Amino acid sequence: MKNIKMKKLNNRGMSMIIVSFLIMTFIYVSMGFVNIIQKTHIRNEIQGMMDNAGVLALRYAVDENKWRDEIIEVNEPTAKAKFVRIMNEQLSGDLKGLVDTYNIKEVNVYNERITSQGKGEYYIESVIEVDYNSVSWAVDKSSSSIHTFYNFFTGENDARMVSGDIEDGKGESVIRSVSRLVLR
Amino acid sequence: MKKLLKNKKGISTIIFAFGITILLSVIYFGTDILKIGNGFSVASQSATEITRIASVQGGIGNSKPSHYPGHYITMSDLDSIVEDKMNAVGYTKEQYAIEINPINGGGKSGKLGAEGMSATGNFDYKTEFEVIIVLNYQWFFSNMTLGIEKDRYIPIRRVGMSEWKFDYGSWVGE
Repeated sequence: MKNIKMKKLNNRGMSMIIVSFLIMTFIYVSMGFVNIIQKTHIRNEIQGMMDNAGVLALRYAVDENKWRDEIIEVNEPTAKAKFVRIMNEQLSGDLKGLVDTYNIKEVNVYNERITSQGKGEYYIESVIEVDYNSVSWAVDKSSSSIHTFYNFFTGENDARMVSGDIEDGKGESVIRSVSRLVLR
Repeated sequence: MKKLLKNKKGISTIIFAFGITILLSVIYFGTDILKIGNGFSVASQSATEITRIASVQGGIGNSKPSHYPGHYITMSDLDSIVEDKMNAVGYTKEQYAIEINPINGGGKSGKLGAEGMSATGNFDYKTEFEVIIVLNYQWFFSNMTLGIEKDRYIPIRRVGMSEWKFDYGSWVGE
């Protein structure tokens, strides 16, 4: 008993404890930063894809006969189907390592707004939820991702949310995009 | 061990050295990750921008097609636009390779960056094409301190569709 007490009282191991704490902190911080870069990259990528796919889909579904008479009319089901097809192709194609699973939550086409020149405008609004393999369970500390924005279709603040589990090694993100097509 | 550690005078120096190494690693890691993050973000935006330009113009040629209204961005214009953007975040021309390929045929592919520059053919109305950027990012400092593999590659891909009609004499489907 006396021996053990003596061993506990000296401070020889102290420096190693400090060093190992420092190393652990460093690893933890690094994983956090990598996670931020990964999340930002996924968000940028998918937002870029959605912006392009939105314009592409609207442009694809334009009625060409009416377009020659300077009337813009978009076939909404065609535009939606095209958008979904393009996004599916991009997210599950050769580069599918970007996200683990994805869910195209909403695709809406609007045409209520008329510009000051009296010409029609079309908008496509889309929301996609994604799950990605996070760097580590240790930095997966949030169970949901909330995206708040000003929805100018309704004139109010709006939000979309996706929920998952903490520390399961999967990050969640929700991404919204609006693209516009206007005759000019 | 006891013989080696005759007294404890050097201990604080050892701890100090450890501390400095860890601190430097943290700073290097931070520097690397900032540069990598910037590179990803700029490459991502460039891909979106190139796709949009190629969609509106029906490809990116060496010169403005006849009857094209307004400003036209040629391949050499695009080359300098992209190079400026990438240089601003510390990437050289050798670190990115950009390809513009029509998906189901219908035009010549173009490329930019590390593998040289060549203009695309004419992508006629509603031709779908893909823009692929392969970015070579480097763990430059962390390679020295932590031994992370230095050269890494990330592919970025966008799909676009030509909106420009080159030949009004031939319409499909009417």
